[in-house]
Amino acid sequence: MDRTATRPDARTPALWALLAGATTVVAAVLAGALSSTTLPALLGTSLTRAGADVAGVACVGLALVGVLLPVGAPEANRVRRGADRALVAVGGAWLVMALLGIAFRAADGYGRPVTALTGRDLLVWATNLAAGRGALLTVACAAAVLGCAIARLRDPDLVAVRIVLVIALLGMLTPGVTGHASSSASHEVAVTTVALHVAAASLWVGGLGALIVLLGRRRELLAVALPRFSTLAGACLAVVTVSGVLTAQVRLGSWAALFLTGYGALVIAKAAALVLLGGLGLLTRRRMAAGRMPVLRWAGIEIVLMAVTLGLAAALSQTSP
Amino acid sequence: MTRLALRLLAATVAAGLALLLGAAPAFAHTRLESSDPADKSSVDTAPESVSLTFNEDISAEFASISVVGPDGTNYATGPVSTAGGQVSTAVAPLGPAGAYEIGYRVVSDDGHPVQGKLAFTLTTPGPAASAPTAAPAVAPAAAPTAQAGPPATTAVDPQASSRPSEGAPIWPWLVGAVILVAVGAVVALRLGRRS
Repeated sequence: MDRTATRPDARTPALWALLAGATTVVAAVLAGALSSTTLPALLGTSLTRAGADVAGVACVGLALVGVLLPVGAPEANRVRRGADRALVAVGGAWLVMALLGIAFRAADGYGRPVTALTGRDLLVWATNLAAGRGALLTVACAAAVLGCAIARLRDPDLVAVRIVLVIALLGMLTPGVTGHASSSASHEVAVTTVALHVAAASLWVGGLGALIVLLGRRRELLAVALPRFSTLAGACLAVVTVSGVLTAQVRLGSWAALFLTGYGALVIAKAAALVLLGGLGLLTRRRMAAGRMPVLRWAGIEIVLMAVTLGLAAALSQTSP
Repeated sequence: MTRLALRLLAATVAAGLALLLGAAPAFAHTRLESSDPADKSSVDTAPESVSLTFNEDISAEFASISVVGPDGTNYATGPVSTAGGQVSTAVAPLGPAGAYEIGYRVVSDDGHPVQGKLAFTLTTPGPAASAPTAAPAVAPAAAPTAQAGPPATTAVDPQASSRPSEGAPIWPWLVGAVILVAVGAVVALRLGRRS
């Protein structure tokens, strides 16, 4: 059973991450089924939105692990290199999803199939609507993440990994900031809280996922990175909770709406997932304080929960109270 | 692998349940606040334009309005114009009296399309009514609608739902871009492996 002698086996954590990604996409598609009009439009927009979210969160997480790892240790450098390679692949996936997302959403806006769109249509959609401009920014950020990751593969000193982290976070913010929040009553408050919510959630979910995949079997590095991440995760949980409550309050406006509308139900589901995740995080901390490394399986459960939450978040982006 | 498949199935079911439990029919993000003529109203003079007011600014690029009469013709003409949240279109002289249906489709600033229908009833035949229906004896003391003008041309051009696209489809370019990104990433990964 000792596989750590040669190369730590990354298959199981990677499979968990894949499972989580698939769950997100399915959840988003299911939720989208309740709001979109035609099936092709539904599939296109839901899949690309969920896919872009998963890829973007993964980029944030991979960059975060690069920041959390100790500097200089040779094994840490090996892991960093693995993270950079993963960033190239996932960054490329993010760019593809973001590009296709623009095409499908523009088609949905025009009410035409994607195959009938022209370049002028895309340009008009992307420049006229706030959502379009936000989507363009996401494409730019995804492309920048991909470029930085390729540069880092050549020479890690070319681009500091925290720059990649900031760019990835920015790319994650733009859909939420140009979504419902921009059209709701308390515009400035809504946009700020959504931005904080998305940033904190991305760091938390992405960081945990990347830690599992990259460091799942490397006990020594995990012992250094996990306490740092745990502190960050605690702060993220607080920010996610407060900003989530504020945003829901702005959108729902009343307790009745919370219990009576579909949007309210989604908020309740997200809140329940948050409580579960917070509980798991607390248990993890206790185990670490007792000197025992948390079991990988628990982290796997957390990831699945987070994936469900991501899907719920994508669903929320499609509905309105 | 079966355990993994079972876990995947369980997670999917859980996610689906969580979503379906509270799901309600989708709500429009952009809401129609009012219209002129108002929904389910009766008008005795044919309106010359139809306007709809939404709760947020609408882009004219993606807005379309149709006004279909009891004879099946779409009387909306000309481009749709917007002023903030108000979307309007000119209407050709209306035809026979009866139920008219206003259909609209707009796209809100967050990218989601919103569509719906309104109805109003025209109580006296419009200026373009072809059949010379006698002025109804019960007609209220409304301004007599002039029956002047050429006979109705029922072949009013149906307003294009949105401006027809000019130019070549772009999807081949999109496919090309996707392939380019994929190839670029693979090449970067392979080259990176050697150093």
